Amino acid sequence: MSSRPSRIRPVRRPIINKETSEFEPCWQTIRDALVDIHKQNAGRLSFEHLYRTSYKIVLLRKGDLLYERVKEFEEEWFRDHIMPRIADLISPNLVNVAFVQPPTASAHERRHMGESFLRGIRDAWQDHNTSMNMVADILMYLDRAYTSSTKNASIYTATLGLFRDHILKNSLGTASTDREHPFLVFDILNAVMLDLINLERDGHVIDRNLLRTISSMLEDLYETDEEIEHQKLYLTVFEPRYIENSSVFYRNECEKFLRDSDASSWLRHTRRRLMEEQDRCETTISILTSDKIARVVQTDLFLSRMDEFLAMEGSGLRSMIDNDRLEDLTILYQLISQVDRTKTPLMVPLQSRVMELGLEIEQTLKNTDFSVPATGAGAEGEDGDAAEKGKSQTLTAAAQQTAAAIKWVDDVLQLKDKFDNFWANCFDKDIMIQSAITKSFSDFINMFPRSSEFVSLFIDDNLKRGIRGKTEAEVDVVLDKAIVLLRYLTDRDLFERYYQKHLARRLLHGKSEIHTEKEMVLRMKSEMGKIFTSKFEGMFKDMELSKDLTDKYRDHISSLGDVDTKKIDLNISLLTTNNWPPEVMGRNVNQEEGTKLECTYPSGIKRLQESFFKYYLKDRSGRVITWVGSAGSADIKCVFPKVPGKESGPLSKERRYELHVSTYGMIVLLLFNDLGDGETLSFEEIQAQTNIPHVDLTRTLASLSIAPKARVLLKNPTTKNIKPTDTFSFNSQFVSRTIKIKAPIISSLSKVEGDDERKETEKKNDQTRAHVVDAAIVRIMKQRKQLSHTQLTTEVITQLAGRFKPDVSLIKKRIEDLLVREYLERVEGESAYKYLA
Amino acid sequence: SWLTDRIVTVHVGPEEKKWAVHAKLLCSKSMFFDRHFNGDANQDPNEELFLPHEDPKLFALLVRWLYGTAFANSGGTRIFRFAPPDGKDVTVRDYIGLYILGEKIEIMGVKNAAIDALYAYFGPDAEKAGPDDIRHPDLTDVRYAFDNTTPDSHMRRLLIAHALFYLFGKKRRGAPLPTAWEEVLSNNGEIAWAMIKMLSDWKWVMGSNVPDMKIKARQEFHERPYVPPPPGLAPGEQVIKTETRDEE
Repeated sequence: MSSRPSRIRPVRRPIINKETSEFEPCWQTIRDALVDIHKQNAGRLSFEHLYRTSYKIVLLRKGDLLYERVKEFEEEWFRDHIMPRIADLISPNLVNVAFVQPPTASAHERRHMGESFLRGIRDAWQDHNTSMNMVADILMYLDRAYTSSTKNASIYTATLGLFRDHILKNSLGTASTDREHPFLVFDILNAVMLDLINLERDGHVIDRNLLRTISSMLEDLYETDEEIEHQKLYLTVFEPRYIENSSVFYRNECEKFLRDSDASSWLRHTRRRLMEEQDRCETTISILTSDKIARVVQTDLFLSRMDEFLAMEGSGLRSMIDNDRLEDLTILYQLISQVDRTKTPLMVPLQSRVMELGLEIEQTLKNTDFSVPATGAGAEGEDGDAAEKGKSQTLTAAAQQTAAAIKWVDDVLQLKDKFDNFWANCFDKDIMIQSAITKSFSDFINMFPRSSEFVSLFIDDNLKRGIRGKTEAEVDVVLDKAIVLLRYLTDRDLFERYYQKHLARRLLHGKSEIHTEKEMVLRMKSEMGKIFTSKFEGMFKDMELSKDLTDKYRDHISSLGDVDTKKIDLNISLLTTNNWPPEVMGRNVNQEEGTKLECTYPSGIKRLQESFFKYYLKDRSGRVITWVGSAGSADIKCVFPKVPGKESGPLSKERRYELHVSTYGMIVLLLFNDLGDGETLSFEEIQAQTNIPHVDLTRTLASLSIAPKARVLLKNPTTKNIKPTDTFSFNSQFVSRTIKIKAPIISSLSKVEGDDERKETEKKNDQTRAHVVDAAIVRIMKQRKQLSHTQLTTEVITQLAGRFKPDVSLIKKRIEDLLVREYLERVEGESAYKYLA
Repeated sequence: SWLTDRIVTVHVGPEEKKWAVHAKLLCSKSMFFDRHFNGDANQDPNEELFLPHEDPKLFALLVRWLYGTAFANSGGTRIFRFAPPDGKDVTVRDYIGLYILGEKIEIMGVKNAAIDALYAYFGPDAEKAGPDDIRHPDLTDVRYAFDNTTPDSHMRRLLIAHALFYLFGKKRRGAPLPTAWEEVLSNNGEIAWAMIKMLSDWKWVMGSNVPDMKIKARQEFHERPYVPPPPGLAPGEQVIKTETRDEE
């Protein structure tokens, strides 16, 4: 009831007695009404009459007196009618339940006593509340004209406050002073409520509604009649005790679980308790407590011993991860994210487990014997190819290594799948966890020195095998994953190098589908940028141009009607030097031996080359074509004459085969065309005539004389290795079931590099890096003119982060080199550099 | 809408004169009626109310105000006004009585409407009325108001101001004071004190001429829903401020 600000001035009326004499009868009327109201006998009262009476009292300026009289009446009523009933409910047994721990009475007994005590309090409160509502109605005018203009609380508030002061804070006279510590009714109330709640926690059924009513009573009552919101008795008295009691309860429970149970049931139990407590706040006590009690459960049941639970053998975090216990992990994630926004307690063990498992993969790799691939790798589909190759024989060392590489990538991808699965299904696709896991993956992958090579090999394997065995969609999935791995690599330049090498082989030997290749490169492009893939794209372009050129040249020849070429069909791959790996271009050979080596082509081939070169220069003058014998291949139609003396079997007939060999193979075989029966050529003779580099020749001869499928040459002695002293002859007894025969082209098989090769590659890569670092330094200094050493180092690392992670020592060395070459100079007295234009 | 809701009966005065009133309309204006007709949710609502101590004539005015304002608000542009007292059908004392009824049953609007009627009657209307029509509060009416209101009542202030304006006004010009003044003032010091208090607030000083003065604006006598004063300002200060501008 609001009103304008007003003041009541002291009464100045001549006839004072009149007012007093009029007050008493009015008060008597009101008092009788109060009694009726408390006796729930209000039906016969006239509201209008009582209202008018109290209005009259206020007009007589006796509002203050009425206010006090009503309060006195209520106090009296409590003393004479309410407290005796409540005191009866507080039996010594109940007091024991409240103050003696552990409780001696049985659960059933405690519950029974407690609930009847609470019911007594509840009834008294409800009666009082109803009565006071009525009283407030009758005294409405008092509140408006008197109470609101003074500092007093409204009559309703004041009379409710009396319940707090005279019932709850009643010390019960002797009943309490007899004990060691005097207590109030309120203390018993609290203890009984807490006892009942603990009984419920232990699985007993209690009267939730009753507790709810008592809780709302405490919410309706305040410490003072000013009714300050945060001074509700519920908040000031009950809640702190409830929180403290719950804390003890859950600490004990936590200890019990740690002793008797495992992490999995502990997680489930914690989750259940949280839900129970939330439910309890909604149905039994007050929703005001829900956050605080949740924190108690989180702190005392969950966080306090979390580390110990997570470390538990057989059910802890490690076991959850290893055994894919998705539900456990889900609960753990949910609980942790409620208490810790950083989620460190989950993230750190996850990360270290990723590391451990990652290093384990590497370890297994070292310990696995790939020479018997059917046992280990054969079970997994990914390694089917390796198993196939090794059906009858043990794998060569190189093939073993390749299988190992593919297994490594495969295992890493499986690990990644495992954690992706956790991430999507348990961790709610949490971005922080994702980046944490990603970092660990990146860490262990980069700790493994051959990761770049292995990833490239893996892609190589899948692109090659993608043509058979797998559907396009399956290949797609695998390649997607490969891209993911790529993201983790820091030495991207090294990967680029390997990929270029592998791609070149695939393209030149038609080992893969060109559109799948392009698709893959497109994905890399979107992942790592245009510069990264520019060489690969150049390679594709070369291939397309070559095809075009070949077709046109063929047309050109047929239009000439030239019959002199012995029908040699030329299929040319014109490669732009920069786009292709040096190994393919035969450059490294030249470098090593210091002279330009050109193998000697047979005359027929030579004419063809010249003819093509002429044609080529018609449109493009000034270009140079280098014929790379090591990279090409040839289809040769060969005729094996009938072997004399054989009348049956394949040898009795003339046999025609189409032999697919490398370019070098072709050159070598053509030599034998001119040889008579029984004549032989030694290794040295062949080398002298063809000028094929030693290594390549060894390989070529091996493919033609050792592999049983394509043994068109006989070697003497028939060992497994090619020695310079060996001699070779035409195998006139050669038989094959198929018409088309493919001589194994050893160089086309992408395989893991040997340790020496590897060092070589790294050395080359380091050289390239040195140049890249140089360029970066100059670029930066040109722009900034002057920089301190640390700033420069940081800048270089940032600029090159997309390609590789440069060594600080390397940067330092390059800076020194640039100083010598006078691109930079030192700034006097500080560790800084100046750019010299 | 209140129009289609239930209708209750109010019996007024000893003769129990009956009014059928829309309950919702009545209760929306007054806690008193609200408590009576809607009070106990557990019981059947009351359909009747007896007000044996009220004057049916005043209750009729209240009902007229109740429906007048209700309809004026719902579409009509004219704001509800009571007719000026004419001494026959409705008198000054009736409006004072209506004010007191409004206070008792806690309807602020009807109190302000009663104030408005008297404000116009003693103020602007009296000036238009010509020099011979001297209007001033009858002091027995003033006594009636003082007997039934609390000291902070606006009705008291309005009546006292007009009594003083009459006392010092041009129209009286030396005519003797009405006999009621002696009768009332010699017995009721509270009214006399209220007059002296207001006079002292005018701050007249001997030797200077008495300034020409006007009654404050109508709104100054209206009651408003209570708004707490801004913090830092003691309630006393505010009161002084408004009173210095009083009746100038």
